[in-house]
Amino acid sequence: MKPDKGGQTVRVLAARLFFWLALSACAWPAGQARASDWVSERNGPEGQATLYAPAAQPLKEWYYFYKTTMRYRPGLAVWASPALADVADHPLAFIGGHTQTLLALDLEDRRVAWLKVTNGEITAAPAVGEVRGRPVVFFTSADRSVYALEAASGETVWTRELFPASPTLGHALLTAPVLHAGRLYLTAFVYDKSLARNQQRAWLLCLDQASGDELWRIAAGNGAVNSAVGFEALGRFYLAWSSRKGVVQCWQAEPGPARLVWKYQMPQEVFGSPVVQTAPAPRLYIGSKFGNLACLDALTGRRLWQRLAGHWIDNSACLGSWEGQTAVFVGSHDYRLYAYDAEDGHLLWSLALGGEVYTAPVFFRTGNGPRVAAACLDNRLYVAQASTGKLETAFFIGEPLWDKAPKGETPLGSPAAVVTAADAALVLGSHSGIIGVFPLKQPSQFRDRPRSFRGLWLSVPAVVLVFLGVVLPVLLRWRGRS
Amino acid sequence: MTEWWQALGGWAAEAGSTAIAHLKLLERALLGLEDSYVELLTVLALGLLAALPVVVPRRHRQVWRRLTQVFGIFIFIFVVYTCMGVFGMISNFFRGFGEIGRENILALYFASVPVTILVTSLLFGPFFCGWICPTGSSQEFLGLLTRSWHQRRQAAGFPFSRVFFIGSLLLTAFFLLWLYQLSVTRIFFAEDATVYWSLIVVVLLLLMSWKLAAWDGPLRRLKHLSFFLVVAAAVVHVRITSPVHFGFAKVVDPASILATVIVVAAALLLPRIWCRYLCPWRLAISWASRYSPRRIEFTAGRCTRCGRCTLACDIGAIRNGVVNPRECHMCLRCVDLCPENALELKEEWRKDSEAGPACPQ
Repeated sequence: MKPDKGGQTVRVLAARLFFWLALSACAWPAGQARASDWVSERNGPEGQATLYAPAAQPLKEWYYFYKTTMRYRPGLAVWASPALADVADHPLAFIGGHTQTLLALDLEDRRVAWLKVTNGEITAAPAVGEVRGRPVVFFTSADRSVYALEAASGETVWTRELFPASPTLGHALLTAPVLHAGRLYLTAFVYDKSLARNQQRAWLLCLDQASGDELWRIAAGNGAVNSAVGFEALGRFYLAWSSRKGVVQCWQAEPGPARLVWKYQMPQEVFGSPVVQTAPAPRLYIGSKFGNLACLDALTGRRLWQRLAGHWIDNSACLGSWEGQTAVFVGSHDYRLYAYDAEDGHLLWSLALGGEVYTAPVFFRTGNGPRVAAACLDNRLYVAQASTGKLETAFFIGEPLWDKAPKGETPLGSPAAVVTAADAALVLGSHSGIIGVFPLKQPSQFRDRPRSFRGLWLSVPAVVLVFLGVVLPVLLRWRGRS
Repeated sequence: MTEWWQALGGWAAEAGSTAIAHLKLLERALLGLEDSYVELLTVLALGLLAALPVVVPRRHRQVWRRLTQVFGIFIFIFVVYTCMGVFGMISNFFRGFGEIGRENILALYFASVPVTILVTSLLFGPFFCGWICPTGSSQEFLGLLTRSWHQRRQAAGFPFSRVFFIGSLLLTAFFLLWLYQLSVTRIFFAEDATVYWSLIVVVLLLLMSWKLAAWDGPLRRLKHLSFFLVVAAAVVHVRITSPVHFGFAKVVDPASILATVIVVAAALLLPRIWCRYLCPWRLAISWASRYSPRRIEFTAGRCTRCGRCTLACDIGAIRNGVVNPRECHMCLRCVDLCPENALELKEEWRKDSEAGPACPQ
């Protein structure tokens, strides 16, 4: 009997189709990206930290300073990065700090919607997700707890203490939550140097997003860790983070039990979190204090390229795309903001700014094209064109409240952006203690006018000419009268 | 007897509680000055330092002055953050002045140091310039390296000096190269206009290679322009940092570091060049000290024309034994070096005194 070639082909095709459908069905729960997912401290895996709000009205300038009625100051006003979300048609900024308070700021009405006082410093940005269809803000505090509060009202949904208190417990470092498919992930490091309760380990924890129940925790290295970033690939959900010692590690979190996929040692310490480009192939970008910006294959940990900035990189990078071009932006302590081609790492542009760039950049699109912004230790927040690196404007963000802060090791927050139909605004908890909303087009009393390279060098001969041609003759003539 | 003791005890208890109540009042007042105690201490220190020139023995007065200058550099750079350099003191004065009646603590915070300097200059003369000012002291300390060379030039009437000219050219090149390096690595703002003051310093040096003797007097009036520019900037709320500002700043201020290095290095070629020609605060102090009862008096009959005082004066304020009060820094080197006591420090606190016309009517 001759084989039925046509039937055989159909059967093979059907079997393959069934196999792929079955595989997709298995992977569906893990690969289902939901609108309420919040996979990094900067919201998306690209670290853009931008909210595209439906509000038609542009946001106005606003400066909020947290004043307490207490005679003492409950910690310094070192603000963490804000998390922006549109709640009940109002753009809200959720921001915590060393004041141990999480603030929900209504950026449209310019008022404090609510606040929540915890028992420890809040050093990481919150995450905004959903519980039973209602927007909920999740954040961690140095009181070793995770909080879930109603985003609109601040009412407690649940709180969970992750580590028990003990008399010898040192500092607790709980990083920003990652929300994915109904689960909340975070990395943590709680330090206890006593012999009896010695703790030096870092942990990866997984909680149920709706109830706060702890699902599992695994030891994930030693020492302090930075916030994790989540990304999806091949139907799986991965978490990647770095330790302060410079070890970048990637874990498969879903489906199944968590397992280590790869580890990569960066040169010197790492103070930022990785950012991930998910398409076409997942790539991970991270900078180190040595000044290296590394691009790794996010699935294998293999280094694809590495570039050296002029000085420390002590915060996360940020990815941005326009006209088929994807760039990775990173600030360095050599006063420069760098834009590298995400594909091969060649330098697109670098922009000299007025001080050490200490924040992660924020990328956002406006009607006039893509923009990138970052704050520097010269107390300014700079905005530049993302495609060309041309400086557009700058804002004065105030003098630091304290001095002698160790540069590069202070967990100062990074800016976030709100883009409305009419304008864009930057939100930053400044080291001056002020949380500022800086609109790009609207009037702002703290807008600064940076001087160009050419302008400076034209002004030098101009000053000499005025001095020699006008001031000097007047002074010499004045001598005759005196 | 017992009643007497009881009465005494009651009186003591009442007096004690009254004293404690008063202390509480004082404490409340001091608590209200939270964050301003450093400035209050500065006010106190400046007041005490004003008495130093007349309190310390004349034989060791210059040693005391050096110690005070070192102390001045330390206290202004590490303690008094509201000073912010010579330009900053002027803008802070305006800021503090504007806060009176609204935020009195802020007014005290920002205006206390400049007001104290002006008041002590009014009372005790321009001793701040000669004894405390960190900018002037830095220049003076570096100028010590070339003082004898400068004095020889001064004795010869400041002829053209190849060394002076080459030094000026080198400093100009150094300034331009550093400015270029800064311009490609950072953004400049209006507050970095301090680099234009250092630009004028190098231009002045180049001019002074030939014209120091002839143009020294008229160019001292540059202080008026400098004062006007800084005051105008303060009035319109444009902040301009000054040399040595980086010592007060909480972040790295490369433009101010550049200006400071240029100003201090220029003092190698011309002592206290900043104080001579450009310091706006020096102008304000000379206005205030015009009415000071403390001044240096010259007795022509004792003078032997030895010229020691003229050579000793870094600022060039002495001509033929006569001290120009508008330029004098009250360092008292001339007084201490005069072998005939032709120059003396005099004070006239009462108008009807017969000590001479020290205080203009």
